[in-house]
Amino acid sequence: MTTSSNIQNILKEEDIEGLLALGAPGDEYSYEANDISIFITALNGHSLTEADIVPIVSRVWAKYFNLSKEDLNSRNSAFQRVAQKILG
Amino acid sequence: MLYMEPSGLWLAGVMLAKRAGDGSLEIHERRISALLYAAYGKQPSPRAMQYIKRAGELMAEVKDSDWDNCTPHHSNAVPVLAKVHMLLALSGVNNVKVDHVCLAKAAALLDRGVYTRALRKLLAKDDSSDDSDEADHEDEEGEDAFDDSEGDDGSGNNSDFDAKHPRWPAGIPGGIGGEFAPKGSAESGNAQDSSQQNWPDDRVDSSDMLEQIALLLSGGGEARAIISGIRSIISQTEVSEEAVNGQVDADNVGQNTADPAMATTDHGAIRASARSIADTDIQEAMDTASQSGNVITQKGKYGTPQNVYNGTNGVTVVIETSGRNAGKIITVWRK
Repeated sequence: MTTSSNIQNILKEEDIEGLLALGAPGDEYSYEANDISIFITALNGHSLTEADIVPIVSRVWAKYFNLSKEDLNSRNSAFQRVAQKILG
Repeated sequence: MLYMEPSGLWLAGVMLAKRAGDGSLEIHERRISALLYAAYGKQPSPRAMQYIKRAGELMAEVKDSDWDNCTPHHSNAVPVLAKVHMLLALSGVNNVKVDHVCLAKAAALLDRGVYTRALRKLLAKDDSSDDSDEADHEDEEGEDAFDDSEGDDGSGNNSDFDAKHPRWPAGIPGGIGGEFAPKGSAESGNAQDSSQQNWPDDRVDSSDMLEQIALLLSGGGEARAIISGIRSIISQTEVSEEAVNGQVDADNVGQNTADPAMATTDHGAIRASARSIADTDIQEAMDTASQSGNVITQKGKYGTPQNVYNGTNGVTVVIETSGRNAGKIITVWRK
């Protein structure tokens, strides 16, 4: 089962915004991880695909980082990698 | 006070079912379930899901031309439009192409009077073929589909709530607070003979709507971020900026009165709060970093210019200097 902690590790590994590389603490994306986890939990029991998860990550990111569609597009490959890792 | 209004969610479900166009409600159930979970913090009840599915089935029978008689715009439509748009966005359905005209109509439909009249038209079609024990049954079943809404105090006594938010006539799903007047109970609530009554036109109070949108957006987070989110969503719907400002500013909800230099993204605000870094710490970090030449100007991972202030107080502040987050703190931490 994908937990918030698992997702946090995935987000940490991906460091989508590059904030960890700047020296931010390891819990930098913990709130985003928690939100993503809520969605994923709600979908438990269903066969998930990358196409299910990418929009969730994207939506969470848009909300927390106040991103435009263009901004989101530029991060899409990172969202895809996160989705793939969540799917394991 | 937060009360959950199923009509918006109902319509979102309907729109999803309709716009997907693949005839498969099953595939969307889990997504609708996810968005309801996000909004309510719990899984929708089987009754709620049944209700949404029924709405989808009804809606699938409606042709686009049937919407033409609906008022396409209303002053209250702007926040409602934002809500519907957000719900659709939250649903994460990739193949739904959001049609702004359709959403504008949907927004108008969410207005009490127009929505009610439109639903009466839709349901009249059903009634003409079958006065529907089935429909009545579904209404009763739907009665407490959202019965954990805060509009219900749990005691069964909703008098204050009802006074503020009158119930919908019999046979009309989507009543405020998830309540449905039983068929034939003209003495209760607003239920009346649908052929004779004057349909309610108690329009949505925009501050209530904003509260709901805000809570949907943030799960109860900071109002300034919420308003920012609302503006962002509204701008995506291509509603005129003037209309947006008029609506949102008039409500004066959660306006950010803080020093603009302390503007933050949601992420920045949350990080500062979670790390117990006050505005004064941030200001001190920026001042001391500037004085000691400890400001690094760089580009972020996606090319956005940023200033990184390493304050002598041990606080690091990252601020974007151009783009939509220009001047906003995107994160902060203490070494």
